Amino acid sequence: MASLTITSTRGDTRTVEGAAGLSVMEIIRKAGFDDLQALCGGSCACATCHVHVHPDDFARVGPPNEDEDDLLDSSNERTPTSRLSCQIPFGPALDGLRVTVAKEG
Amino acid sequence: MPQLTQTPVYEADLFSPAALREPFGHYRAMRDLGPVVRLRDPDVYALSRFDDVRDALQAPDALSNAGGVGFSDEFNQPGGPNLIQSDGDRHRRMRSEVIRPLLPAQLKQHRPFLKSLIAERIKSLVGRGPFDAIAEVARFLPTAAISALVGLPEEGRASMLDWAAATFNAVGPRREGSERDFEVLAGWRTYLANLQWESIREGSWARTLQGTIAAGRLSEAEARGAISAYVLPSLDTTILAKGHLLHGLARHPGQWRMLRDDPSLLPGAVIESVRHSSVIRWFSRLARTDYQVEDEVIPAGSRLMLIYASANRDERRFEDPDRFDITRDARAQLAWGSGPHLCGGMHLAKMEMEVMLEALVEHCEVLEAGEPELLTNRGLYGFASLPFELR
Repeated sequence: MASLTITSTRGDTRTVEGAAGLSVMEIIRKAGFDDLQALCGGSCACATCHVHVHPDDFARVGPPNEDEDDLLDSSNERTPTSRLSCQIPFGPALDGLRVTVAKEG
Repeated sequence: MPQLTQTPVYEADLFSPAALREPFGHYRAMRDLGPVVRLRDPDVYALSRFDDVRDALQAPDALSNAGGVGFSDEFNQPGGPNLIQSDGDRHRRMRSEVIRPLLPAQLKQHRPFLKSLIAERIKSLVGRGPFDAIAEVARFLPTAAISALVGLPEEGRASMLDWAAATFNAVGPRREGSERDFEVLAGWRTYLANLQWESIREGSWARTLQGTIAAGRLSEAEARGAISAYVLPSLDTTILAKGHLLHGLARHPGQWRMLRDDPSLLPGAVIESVRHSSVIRWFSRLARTDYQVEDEVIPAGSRLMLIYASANRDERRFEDPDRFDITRDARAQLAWGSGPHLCGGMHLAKMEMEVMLEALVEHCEVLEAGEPELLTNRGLYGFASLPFELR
């Protein structure tokens, strides 16, 4: 198991174990962070699972894909390390990843 | 092996006028009958529980939209591409173009204007005595502003509500009066086929699709078909959703007071209203492969009815689901669907409802509702009229 550290929009931080094969979105939801809406269920259709990846971890995660990039562009909260968490498959290579749930907008 | 003969049959007609006006007792009976039930007419499988509807919406590889999302051939075989009835790559390409102006950051620019329009309208109605809230309030922003953003020329813009009502009726099974709906729908398709791009307002949502053709992102047929996604589902749906929201708050004065005292409850009130009274009753999918729900296997080639409005009243997911409660966390609701076909206009719908509520909170103390007249549209649940008073 690899771990993932999540910070909510309210600033609470928690580290959870994440199963390989799940997306970062699914792990955040399973951990009970319900401020991450993920309305479309992970099909890159809604931009409601936006997270900010910690800058030191971004190289391991990599940049967004093209559809994701368009959706992220629609957010005023976008930063250089923004990703849609449904598009990040979790696994041992991402052990220790730190993400912060983005505010809506 | 699971036996299909075990699938219980729900005998009542969900599309009788009485059932269309009062569907929730039927939905509860279906949920209690089993995870999968069969209907007689249309002859389809139906899913009515929250988890099963959500999972089905998130299984686009097994359950296809391109095979049609309605029950009539007239609806399911439109003769050209459209967004909701497409799968895979075509769907992704069309959707990414259509949703561009409908995402939150793009919509934000319209918010102050929409807010000022609806606030003026609300102020003019306060203390005026009884009026019809559907005609005077719910329909106001869609016809005054949203249809202009879509961009059709005047004669098309004036027909949008007729086309939409006929479309959402034609999505259902063939019934008395269906011929008229199919004629109106055919009228829309002819109109669309003959529509000149240059006649669509420059800079509007529909006109912007034209640029995708030259850019090689959509074919002419796809770009034209994508216009439907702005024209048909953009008005009636939000009109009826506002009717439910107004009714819910007027009938629950305690919750209205809570909302006035604490406007931070406002987005939650919008979500609870669409959960409690979902406007889109259902859509269907065509099973491309065998599809399993609990221990039942629905065979490939079957049509599945996914009842969003029932999922949102599922007591397995929402406590006391018939209760309208703006303080509950209803964010899991499926009123806008889920999965790759999640309603593209969801953010617009929310915004329209939120600015209406803001205006009410700022300008009214008392909401009073009379008895609504219920529609019998086969795809949409809502009020034809809602007697109302603002003080």
